[in-house]
Amino acid sequence: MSEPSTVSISKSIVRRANDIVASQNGRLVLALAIMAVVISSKSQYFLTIGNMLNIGQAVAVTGVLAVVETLVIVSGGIDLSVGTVPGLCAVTAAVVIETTHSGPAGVGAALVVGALAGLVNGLIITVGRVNAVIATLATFTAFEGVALLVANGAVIGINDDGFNSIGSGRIGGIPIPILVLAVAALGAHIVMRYTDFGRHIYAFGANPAAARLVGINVDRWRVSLYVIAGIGSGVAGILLSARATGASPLQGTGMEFDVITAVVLGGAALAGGKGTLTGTMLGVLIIGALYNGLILLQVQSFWQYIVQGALLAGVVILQERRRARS
Amino acid sequence: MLNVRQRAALMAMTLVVSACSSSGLSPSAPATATSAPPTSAPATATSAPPTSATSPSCDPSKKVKLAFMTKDMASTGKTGFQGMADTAKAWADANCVDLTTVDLLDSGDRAVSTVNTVIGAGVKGIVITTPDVSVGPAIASAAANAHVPLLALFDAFKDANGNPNPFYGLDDLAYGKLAGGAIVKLYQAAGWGSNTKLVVRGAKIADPTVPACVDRQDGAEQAIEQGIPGFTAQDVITVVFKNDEQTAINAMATTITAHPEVTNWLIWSCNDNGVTGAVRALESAGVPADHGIAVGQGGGATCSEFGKPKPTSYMGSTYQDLVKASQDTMKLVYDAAVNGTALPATTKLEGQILTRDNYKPLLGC
Repeated sequence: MSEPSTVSISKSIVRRANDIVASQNGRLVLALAIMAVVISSKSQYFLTIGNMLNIGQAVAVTGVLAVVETLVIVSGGIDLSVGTVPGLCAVTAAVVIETTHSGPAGVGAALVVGALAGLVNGLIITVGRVNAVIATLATFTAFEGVALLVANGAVIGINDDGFNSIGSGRIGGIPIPILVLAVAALGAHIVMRYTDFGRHIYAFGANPAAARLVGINVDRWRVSLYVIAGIGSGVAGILLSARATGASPLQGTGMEFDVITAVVLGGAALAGGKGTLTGTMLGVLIIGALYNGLILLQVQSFWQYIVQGALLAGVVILQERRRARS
Repeated sequence: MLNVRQRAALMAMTLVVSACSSSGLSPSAPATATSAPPTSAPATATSAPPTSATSPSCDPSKKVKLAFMTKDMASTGKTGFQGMADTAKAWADANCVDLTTVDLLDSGDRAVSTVNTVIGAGVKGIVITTPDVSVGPAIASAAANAHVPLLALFDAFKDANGNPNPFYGLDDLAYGKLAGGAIVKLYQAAGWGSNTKLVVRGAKIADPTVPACVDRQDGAEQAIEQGIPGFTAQDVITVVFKNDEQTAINAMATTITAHPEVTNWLIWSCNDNGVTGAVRALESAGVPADHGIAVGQGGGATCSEFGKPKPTSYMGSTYQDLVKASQDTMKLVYDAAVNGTALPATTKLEGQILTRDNYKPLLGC
């Protein structure tokens, strides 16, 4: 005798819900939801619109860097220089604005310098055949030195209202940095999901030898990705310096840890071939919400480090167990 | 292929060259420890004539070898430790001293090995700002065993017996009280105490991981609580940041959201970037500039903030004359090395507050 249709529909819904929760992104959404419930039970301000916008503002720069880092990591590479290229781009923008009194010129200069930094990374890795970790660790240090040279070790104030509005302005009530992140994330998602470029990234990230055999010019794509990462760092530098109304050569230093944490949390495999922008954005939000919540709850800062580390370890363990089962 | 002896010689040469090289571009790890934040000060000795000791005519063979080494030299740039090293170099050139300057970056281990290296290279006196005061006993022992005078600059540490090493600077608690005192005066001048409609709170932009920061933050808080009747620890909100402007912005933005009842803010931190981050957060939240009183430490952002077309809540910063500090420490160590004069236990460098009226001549911007 067959089950009543309502029972079978209910079972189907439950099975579907289980599949969603058991999926990589489903787990992240669940983690975010649990965190939101716990924090909002102790702070009435957590789920307010103002605070949500605070979280968005706080994660905008990390998010933009995490978007481009996802592309690089899925392709089998890594870019540690995302910690120092934003500072280099920021001081470049500041110097150009100081000289030309033109905000657009500063923006352009920052993006060009970022692209050039990415090109340097890409060429060292492809032409120089240097491991990506070593290459970008070396350029991390070198670019920091260049930034210090450009700024002469000092903070450079930016008094261009147009430029600074990138960091503090709003469109339709939404802070511009959040909009920039949304555009970057959506654009990258479309590219990764629906274009040949995206498919190639997954292909040579999973198996570069096979990708070469089917005619994909792996080195050219790889260089392109690092240039894109550099442009992303330029955008990050613009956001950082606009929000601060000033540029420091060390702006962004230290963010590389949060960026890579967000990408790994989002399910990207450091070996390449796996990862999604949705997962990365969830990872970014989890880190941002966690930091915001710990401030609202006035938790001693030492616990923040412990919780962030434990969260990363916990999610990675779950990912590895799931990977082993499949 | 090099034999063992040749490899050892090459390593020794490398060590000596690295000890003798000026800091130049030694990119550092993120400068999170800012126990003695740099101030903007003329990096050359032209603003004040070098205080020269009685110096012999400069026979190169009779030059006295000294060392000047600090943490984060390159990353703090001309307005910070690099500027101090340049001033020390100028003093050395004027006083027949062969000066080695070294950037210790942010590594205590590097400090220990560099001290041993320069002692081995014949240095007769050392001025040091160590990245990690816990290595103080190790470096003090090395210097004491070699009978090399060792002067701690800005970051005090203890020797192997637990006694304070000779120190030059301003203790961080006093430095904090200087900023707190300035906030009290600005609060009184603004008449906030007499306006009962205001809800005034203190935002302590705090980095609890750096001991010197804790002293400065707490010193400022003590001065404010002592100077403003009725203002207690309950009125202070601790806003934790990671010693950079962005995390200060984010943390303060969250704090403002969580305290909608506050109308006016008193803001302090252990350096300038904590304070400027909080000021940016106030601006983003639409808080008028005259509803905030923010005083920083070290003057790193003073030129930038006071150079803005419209006033902000940033009202000043503490300042140390780094040119004087460089020259004084060089003279003290020179006298100790050449004349056997004992280094004083503590030499205080008085700080002052940078305001809109005095910052330009002091900072040279």
